[in-house]
Amino acid sequence: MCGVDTKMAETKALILVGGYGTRLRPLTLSRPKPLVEFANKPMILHQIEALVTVGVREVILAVSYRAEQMEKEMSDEAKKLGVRLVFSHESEPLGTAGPLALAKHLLSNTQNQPFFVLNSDIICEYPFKDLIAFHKSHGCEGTIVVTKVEEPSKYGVVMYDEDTGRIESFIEKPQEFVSNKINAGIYILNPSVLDRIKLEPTSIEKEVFPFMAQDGQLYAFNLKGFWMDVGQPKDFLTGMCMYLTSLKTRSPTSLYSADGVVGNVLVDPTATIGEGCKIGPNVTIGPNVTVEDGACLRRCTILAGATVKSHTWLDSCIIGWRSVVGCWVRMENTTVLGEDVIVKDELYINGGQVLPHKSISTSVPDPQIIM
Amino acid sequence: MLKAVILIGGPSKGTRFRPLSLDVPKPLFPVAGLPVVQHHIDACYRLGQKRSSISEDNSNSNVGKYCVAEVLLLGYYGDDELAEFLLTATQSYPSLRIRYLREPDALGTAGGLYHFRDTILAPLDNSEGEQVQAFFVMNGDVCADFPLDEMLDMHFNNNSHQSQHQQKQPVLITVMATETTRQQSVHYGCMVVDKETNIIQHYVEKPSTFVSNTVNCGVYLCSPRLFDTIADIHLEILNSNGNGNQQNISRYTTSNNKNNINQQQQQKPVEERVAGAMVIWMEQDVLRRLAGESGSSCSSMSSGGDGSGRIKKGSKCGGVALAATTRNWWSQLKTAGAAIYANRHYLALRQQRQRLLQRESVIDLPLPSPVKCRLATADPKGYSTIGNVYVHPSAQVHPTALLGPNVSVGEGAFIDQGVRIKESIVLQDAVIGQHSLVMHSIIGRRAKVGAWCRVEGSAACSDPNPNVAYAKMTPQLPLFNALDGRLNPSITILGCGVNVESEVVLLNSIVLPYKTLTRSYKNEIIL
Repeated sequence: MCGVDTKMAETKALILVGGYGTRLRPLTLSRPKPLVEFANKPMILHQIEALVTVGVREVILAVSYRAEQMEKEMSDEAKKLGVRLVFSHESEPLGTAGPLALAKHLLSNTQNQPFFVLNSDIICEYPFKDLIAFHKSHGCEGTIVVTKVEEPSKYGVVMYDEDTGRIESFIEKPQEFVSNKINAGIYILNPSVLDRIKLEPTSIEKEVFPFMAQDGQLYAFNLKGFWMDVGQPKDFLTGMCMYLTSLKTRSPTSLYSADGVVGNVLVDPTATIGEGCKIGPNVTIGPNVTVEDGACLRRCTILAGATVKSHTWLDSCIIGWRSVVGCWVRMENTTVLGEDVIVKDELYINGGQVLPHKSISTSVPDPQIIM
Repeated sequence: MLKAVILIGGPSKGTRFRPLSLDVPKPLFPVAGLPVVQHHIDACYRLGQKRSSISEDNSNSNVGKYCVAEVLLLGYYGDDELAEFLLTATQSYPSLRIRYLREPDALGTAGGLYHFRDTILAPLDNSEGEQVQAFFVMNGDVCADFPLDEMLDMHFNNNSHQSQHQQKQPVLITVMATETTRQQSVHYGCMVVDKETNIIQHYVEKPSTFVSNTVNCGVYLCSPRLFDTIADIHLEILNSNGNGNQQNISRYTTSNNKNNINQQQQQKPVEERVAGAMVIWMEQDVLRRLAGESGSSCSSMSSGGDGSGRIKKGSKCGGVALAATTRNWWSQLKTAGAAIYANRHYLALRQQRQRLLQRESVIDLPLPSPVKCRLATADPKGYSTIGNVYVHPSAQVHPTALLGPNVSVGEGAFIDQGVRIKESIVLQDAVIGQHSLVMHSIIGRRAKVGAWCRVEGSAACSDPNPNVAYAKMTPQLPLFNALDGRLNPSITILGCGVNVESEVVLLNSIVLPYKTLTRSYKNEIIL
């Protein structure tokens, strides 16, 4: 064990945090995307924790925006986990490959130790240990995690040999079905890959991987369990459902149970829940949240400090930090409230995206962005 | 002695009131806890109570003499449809005789009256032959703060208002009138009224161009002699139909009160008297003829020439029609949306009256039992209310529910914990599940709404514009949008026996009876 640890200590990881996180607005207007709490934990912390368990001691965050806020908020967590966070700041967006070139001096090493690369929006049961083993076993330059999806046409499809795992080609957003295995946005690469990347805006999927595949240097690792890109509200909620289901098998005691709780529900111990509520399935309630009597919550994330008043019914909603939802309110259909939003009593919000610090006093019966 | 005739129509009427009129005749639809026509009866009853109390300490004038002794519902519903209502109404108003007169056919507003003229004019058995001095005629779908007092005063004191003009003209009919906006007036019967004498000089039903802001409210006070005018019209129609048409009008009804005929209708030729079923309208036929009548004999009036073509033989039964213009609240119950509006006003009226009662508790008017039902504010049962709320004593409301403003909850209804209701009518035996919200809606009889439902209509867009003086409800608002064929936002209506499953949202939808809804609907009619 000791031997493994010292050896792994050399392994680093780079997380592609990137830019403004516009797809997750209005939440990302208040907080950088990696800090938005997914299942009561900043999104990026899920990844860092998983990396730490396989011995990663240095995580490079490739950021182009709000690095200071992240640094400030993540430093305590990093200290707790015993991991060093290095911020690699892009002065201009460098795509998915450019940040690797920018961090070349941090990633390259003499021992030819491979490093992890992660897209920051990915939620799954990170299989880092098996991934390293697989990567070592084939001995080539890179390994891509692939996952099976129902609708591959939205993603980059990976064509590979099912027996050996060797990747033949990539088909970006195929119009017709070719395969249901897609690039899951998690890689392990040897430092030699850095020689293939120039310091300019480059796409790793389009401008690096296809050539590696041509050279026979790229392998696919099939992911077990769930996978979701939670970079937008709809998928954020779907991903939360998957995560809670996975948590149910991995760590059932961390889930909340009480009268009126249905299915998988995660509740921060500092939250208070009133009488006669129906909570769940698939609800996450953050720190210092108040849910008053007789509320019904399904498939929701309630972020820290928010209040949901009596008799209110929520389905498929994300309630922003310190927002207040009045009595007898009904909100559904991926309604997202930004930070500190007030929804007055008795309103109906259907698919509303509400920007921070708004006060809503009329119903929104059709999906709409409320500036 | 006075009588009142309430014109309630029949099952083929009130289609715009569907689906609420599918299981209950529209005249019996409860608004503010009372069937629509009971508000008419109530007004007649209160008139009597008030007048008798005034006359005790104030011998002044003829005011105290007029009292409604009998209320006649006139229409063509089946007798059984009204039997139960008649029974309870009779118990609630012991001093009134209340009867239903069933028309053999839809005879029009005046045709029905004429058909039953003998019954209407017959003295009551217990009244020692006291003659009917006048009778109210009220359209059953009018909802209003009926100014019956003022109509009586005008009708019988007309001579005092009339200046030194010419010989006095007998008043045949006094029409309750109200002001509307210029645009809205054309949807009603428009009247040109002389400001000094209140005589109606000109009458047009739903004109295509602007005629007058003053419109007919569908409430009349008629003198017995009005029947002479109707008889003339009857005869004219008969003649104009040609001689060969005699068999067409084979439905001649023999008057049911033969012994009264001679006494009441002495001056009429015999053949007119037996003539019966024929469609005659109060508005187009009677009022149009009477309007401007006086003008032909009174040179000082200007507009006498207006309808000269019509006024032929009519002038012989000389008499005038007056308009009693009121600023009281008035509307019509044509659509279901109008019920919410009427509910609001009737609740407010009752609240106002109760406050008045408390202040003048010395008089302590006897109220019929249904009106005594509490108007909840600080309720002993413990639930909270906002504004005017009526809850039937047999309804159950959970202490955590919040009702109002403008909510009526019917007999035997059950309102569960944490329910919120506003601007709505919940009918008999309906059930609202816990934490549900109901607003701008009508919940039909025995309808059941699950938990955490949202049943919501639009604050009736046909409501009068509060920023426009004299604005009324928009009566001609179409159900569907002409552009995209979608349902215009309306109140939400659940027909009787509808079952809404938990956590469903219903927006601006109309649900026909006995449907079970398992999903949400928006702007739909659910057949």
